[in-house]
Amino acid sequence: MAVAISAGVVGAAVCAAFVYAAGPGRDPDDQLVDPGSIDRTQRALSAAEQPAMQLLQRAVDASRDVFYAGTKVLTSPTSSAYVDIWHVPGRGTTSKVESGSLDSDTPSGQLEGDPVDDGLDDLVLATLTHGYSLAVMGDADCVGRSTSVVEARSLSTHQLAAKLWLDDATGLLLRRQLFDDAGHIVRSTSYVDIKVGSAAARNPDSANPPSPDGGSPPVGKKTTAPAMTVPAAKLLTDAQVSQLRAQGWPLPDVLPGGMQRYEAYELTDASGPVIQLSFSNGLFSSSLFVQHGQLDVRNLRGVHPEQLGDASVYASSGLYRTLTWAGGDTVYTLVSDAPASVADSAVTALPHRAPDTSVLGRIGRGIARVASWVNPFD
Amino acid sequence: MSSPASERHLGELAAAVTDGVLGHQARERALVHLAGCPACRAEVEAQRRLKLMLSGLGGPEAPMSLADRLRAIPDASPNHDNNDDDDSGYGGPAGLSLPQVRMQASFRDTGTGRPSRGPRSSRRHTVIVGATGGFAAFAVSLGVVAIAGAPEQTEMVRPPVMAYTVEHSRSAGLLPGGDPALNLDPAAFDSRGGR
Repeated sequence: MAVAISAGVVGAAVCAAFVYAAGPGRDPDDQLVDPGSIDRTQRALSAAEQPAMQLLQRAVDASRDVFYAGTKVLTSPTSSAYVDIWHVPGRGTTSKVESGSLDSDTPSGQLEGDPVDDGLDDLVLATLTHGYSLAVMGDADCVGRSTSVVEARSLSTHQLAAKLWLDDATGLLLRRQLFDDAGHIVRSTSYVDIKVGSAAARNPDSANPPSPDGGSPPVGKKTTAPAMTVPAAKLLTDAQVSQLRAQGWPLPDVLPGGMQRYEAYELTDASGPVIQLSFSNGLFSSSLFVQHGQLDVRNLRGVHPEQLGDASVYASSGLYRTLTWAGGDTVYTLVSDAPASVADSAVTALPHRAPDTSVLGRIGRGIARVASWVNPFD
Repeated sequence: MSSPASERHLGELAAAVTDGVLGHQARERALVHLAGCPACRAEVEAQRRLKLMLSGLGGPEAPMSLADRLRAIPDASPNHDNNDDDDSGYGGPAGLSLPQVRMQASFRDTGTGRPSRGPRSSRRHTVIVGATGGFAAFAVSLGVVAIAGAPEQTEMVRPPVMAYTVEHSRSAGLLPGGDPALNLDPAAFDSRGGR
């Protein structure tokens, strides 16, 4: 009898090996295999590109150093919004949604701290040169001001990717158009009215901007609290991101479309820690939110189910493309202003299969666990 | 061409007359000849007596030990061994094929008086027991790994999509040339078709 049972155990092991080799329960994409690496070096620019890069660097400085106020219109193929903006050097930027498809009965706004020069600008401009060539195409008027027009074209396809209107007087970016691979405008940002310097403080349409002297906003101007609970964000260093990755967090440094991570945050949410990774290719930007757990699709608001290849996601399209999906025991949420094809390609590049709960899946996963118990090297 | 002696006597036909296998006309001519030929009549009479004597003899008696061995053979049927089809015509009183008889003849009588069980039956019994035990072990093993492979109980997560959109807007607003940070009101989002 003992011989018979031994033979049965051996037979079970052989059959189990076949089941395991079939792979239904191994969840091979539970973990991110290769997070990629960030390239911070700027491509050697040609002589024709140098003036365009100088204009862009001037625009970065101007967005911090110039006092300005105005109204911007943001448009995407399906949405638009008018936003009032005030910027006070040293204090930050306040924005308020005025009207459009994003209009609300209670306009909301928030004061953002002035970005500090921590190398972010250099990284984003370097990333821009990885995928695009630059050129100054000439002069043009924009909201009554003289501007220089800079074009960015794809290095691989030479397709127009962006047109930028840069104020000759201040260097500010007044208008921006972004294109997809088919040449269609996928996002446009343009001032319809702008005042700079002391004129901004006298602008009757923006009578109550934050005080340029650093004081509190004048009485009557209400900077409303966020209308939803936004988790507190803690900036993470690259070393901390690597440490989290070693602990099992699937945190990529690059995404399809030439996207490189430029920042990482840890958010504190009711369901546990959430890691936010911010990406940019110099023109478009994406944010990836990673959290452990099983995706609860009940009462999931603002998104609807879609099928992207072999991935089941919950998505929405508007001013931003939003995607939520499960990969292994992790839930991912991507918010991006990039073309849908670029945003969607991140799903297939990341784990996108929920845990296999079938019998074969359980057997395969169980074999892996039992094998790990007896494997002295595991 | 036949000899005159063969025309006057029956010769080999005497045996046919004795066995009664001649046709009607041949038999009539033979009987006419016998009526007039004392020599042939004596020959036929001698053959009839010899035939009667042979038919009166009995068959040989089989030994009792052989009969016991034959009765101890289980499922003895010529059809069980297809390789012995050519020997089926040798079936004896017990219906055994010749090779089976040879196999049984090689057995030794243990003297217990109880018929001994064949090795084929014992082997079949071992296989059945082994298969049952093996299947049970296989089922237990699969049950163990299936229990071990149950998905880990992790917390259910419902991503706050709108809050994440605001976070993205804030982060992207820090980019050079990036759009301003927008604090989107979820009520407004729902009113334009959010689900």
